[in-house]
Amino acid sequence: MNPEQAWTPLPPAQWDRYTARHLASRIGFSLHPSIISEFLELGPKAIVEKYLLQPQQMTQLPSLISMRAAVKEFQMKDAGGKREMRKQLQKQNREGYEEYAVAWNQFARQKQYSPQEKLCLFFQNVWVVASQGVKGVPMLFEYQNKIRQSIAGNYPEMCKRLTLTSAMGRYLNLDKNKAGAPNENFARELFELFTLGEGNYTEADIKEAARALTGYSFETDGTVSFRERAHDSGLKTVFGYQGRHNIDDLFEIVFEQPAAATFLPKELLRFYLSESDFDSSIIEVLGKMWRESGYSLPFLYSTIFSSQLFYQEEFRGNMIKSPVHYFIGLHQDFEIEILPLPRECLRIERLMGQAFFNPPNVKGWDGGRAWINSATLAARRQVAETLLQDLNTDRLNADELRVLDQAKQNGISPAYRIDLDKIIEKGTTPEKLAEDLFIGQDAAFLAELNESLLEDENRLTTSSLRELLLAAINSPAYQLC
Amino acid sequence: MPAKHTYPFTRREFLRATGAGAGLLSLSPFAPAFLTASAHANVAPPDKDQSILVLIQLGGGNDGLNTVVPYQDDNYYNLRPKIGLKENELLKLDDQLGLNPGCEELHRLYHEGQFSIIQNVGYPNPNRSHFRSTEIWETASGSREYLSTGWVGRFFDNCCQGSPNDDPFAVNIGNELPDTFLSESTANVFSYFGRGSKSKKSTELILKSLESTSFPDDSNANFLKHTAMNALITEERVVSRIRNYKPSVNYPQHSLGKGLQQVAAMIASGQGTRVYFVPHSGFDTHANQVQRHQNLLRQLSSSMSAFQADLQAKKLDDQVLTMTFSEFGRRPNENRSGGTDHGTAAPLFVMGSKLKGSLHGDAPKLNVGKNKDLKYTTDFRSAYSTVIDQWLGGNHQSVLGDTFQPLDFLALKP
Repeated sequence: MNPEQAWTPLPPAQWDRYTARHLASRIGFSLHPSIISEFLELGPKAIVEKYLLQPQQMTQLPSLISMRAAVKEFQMKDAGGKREMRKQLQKQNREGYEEYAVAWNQFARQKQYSPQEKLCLFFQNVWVVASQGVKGVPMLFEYQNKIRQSIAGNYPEMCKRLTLTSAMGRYLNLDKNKAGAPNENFARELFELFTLGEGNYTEADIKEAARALTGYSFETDGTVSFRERAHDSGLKTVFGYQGRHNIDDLFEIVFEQPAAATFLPKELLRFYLSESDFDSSIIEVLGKMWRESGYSLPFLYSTIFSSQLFYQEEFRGNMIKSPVHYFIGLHQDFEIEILPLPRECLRIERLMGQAFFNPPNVKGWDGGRAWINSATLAARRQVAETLLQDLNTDRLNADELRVLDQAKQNGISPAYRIDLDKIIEKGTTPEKLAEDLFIGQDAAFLAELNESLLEDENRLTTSSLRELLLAAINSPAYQLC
Repeated sequence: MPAKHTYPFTRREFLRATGAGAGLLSLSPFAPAFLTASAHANVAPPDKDQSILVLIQLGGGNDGLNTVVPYQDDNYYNLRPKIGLKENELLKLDDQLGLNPGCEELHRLYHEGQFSIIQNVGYPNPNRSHFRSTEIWETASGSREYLSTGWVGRFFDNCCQGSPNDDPFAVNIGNELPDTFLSESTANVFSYFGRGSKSKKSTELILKSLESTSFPDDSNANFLKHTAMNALITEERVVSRIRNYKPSVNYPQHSLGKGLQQVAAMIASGQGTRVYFVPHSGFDTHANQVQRHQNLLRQLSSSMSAFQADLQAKKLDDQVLTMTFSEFGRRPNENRSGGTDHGTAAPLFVMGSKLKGSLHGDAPKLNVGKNKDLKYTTDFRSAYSTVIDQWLGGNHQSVLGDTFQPLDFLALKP
């Protein structure tokens, strides 16, 4: 495909079940028939408009509200009082983290928010912060809010906003970056991981950029302020531009670099389309248009998700689902709710290799084949086994039971587990299962397995259906999107 | 009821189960990679007394100068007025050097000749990015060279192709496969991270459904299928080995200690794995580092010594060499946050019963200016070449693609 043609819109005649399923599996988490029929009606541009450009925030969480109050109280205390209170804060922080993780999974599971939250995950994996480095869950919450607020704006603006958050300030030591005592941690990652990529800057650029970023203080309550006295107002030379640069000047200079036009598009394509490298001429055409749009993010989403390139046959059904995609998608596919207990969703996502807001390092998760090894596959299988078993409330403690009780609506618990009887009642076939679950829709092995399970009774019992679904969910076909 | 499907869990079971018809099934695309590799090479089973390498990764960039401290050098204290460790806190190695106070057990092993230090290890044109430098260490590439395979992976490509081995060539503790193990061939590499609650019955069902699918060679689907089959079969065996293990000592109960105990369990079971990889991370100490760094080293020291004592008690210590590495050391001068920024060369540790000498390579020169870095004196690939040639019995030129002068820290050549 030539570079100009690559980014022209997909002809409307080619918008069909197959292309709609491709977009659904990449932009969201599930191929549920209700999603596909809506997508078919809307078309790519309207889907982007509806699901990515009207950011919706999560509601505030009770534990984070009380934690913010506790942090304020903590700051007023003297050294002794602080020592006493620290343990309590740590406990609150851990509980807040758990509540946030569960709440986020539930939020992202609602299909109207899924594409937006998947996009958040993308930005969180470029502008990485980790709860282990930040040590203050309200700051993570604010950070994610900032991503959503910026998601339909332009990229330089998003970069500046995320730089000036307490989460980032603490994670990459901007809070330690002072005139006369620069700390290079953030400046390096800004160039390497957030805007330009390795090889597009020098060590000297990092040192000088660190100086331009001095002077900010980041409070645990989320306040960020600029203090003139801590800012290095001397002359700096970054990418050949000399001046008394501050943060605004720095971002202006960064986005004048040629590499800035192609860095984020490449990351987006790697996340949404294919892990293999694209022809540089294809990327450059997109980069040039993006730069001319003023680095508009809506332009970028809209161009990519409606482009001819995006729907090329070679890219379909050959990406490996992330653990979060697998986990949330499984709930959407089977119309069940996420059990609001940390021991289930939080722990299992960690075992699958994607702990909430806790990537292995500042580069984030590599994704693709790196998601899959013997340990993470075993964890994926554990999820399927759990969701196919009845919920055993005997094993839950009092706190957990209370949470489940609160989640009841009109005295009825939401469905947390796959209802095998209901599936049998409604009737299903291996072909229908494959269609609803697999992007590749290959039903052959399910049919064969179904045969061997039917042998005895000539119909599926709940236990044979369980085995069939277990095999389906654990198959390579279900790991792909 | 459908016929009970039993999948062979070892190569021997596999050959027994299939008898004379083995050729057909083993050449079909359905058999896991290690079974097909085994069936092709009709050679003797692996030697259970073979040498084993255990790699411990100090992730984040270990501060070498506060690990092995040159307490007689005024430059050290000038570079680090705040975080420099005082002579009286140190565990003396000789009249120049002292170990970080967190390294008590390693200090003892040093004087017993079971622990050696290779000083100031690095590479030319150092890169200060965590990821790039980790990649350089793990792929054993030059600073400007990009390799898609790891040095251990290439060792297997070169030495172990087609060798019959029911067990994984390499085992990683944790859920992230290190670049070190990446190879050209589909080497049987295994990540061990806890265990599931799965029954043997559902394992068999899933194996059967996996068997019946086929995908293009290069596709992610095919990759998933083979990974899943290998993992299920390997896991069944490894889980039972670790579960049944009785260590001779108490291991520290943090992740490194537990990880090394699991490695000991696999070694003691006679598992044919040649290389183990255990991560120990948190060394990216940009701020307020003194206590944190000491804690990390204490975990390292207590875990390594427990591992060595366990191996000794089981008379397996002759067979095992343990080596640490980190992507880089840190800046010689402290920063203003009571920490250190990314630097270059740092010491590398080896532990075992077959060591020679205790201190290798030249110490770094500390007469460097502000924000300048150490210049390495030993290339890390020299350490690798020693291990490849003299410990694993390979050929370092073919693994590393060049000649690197081996060091002299091993007492026995195989």
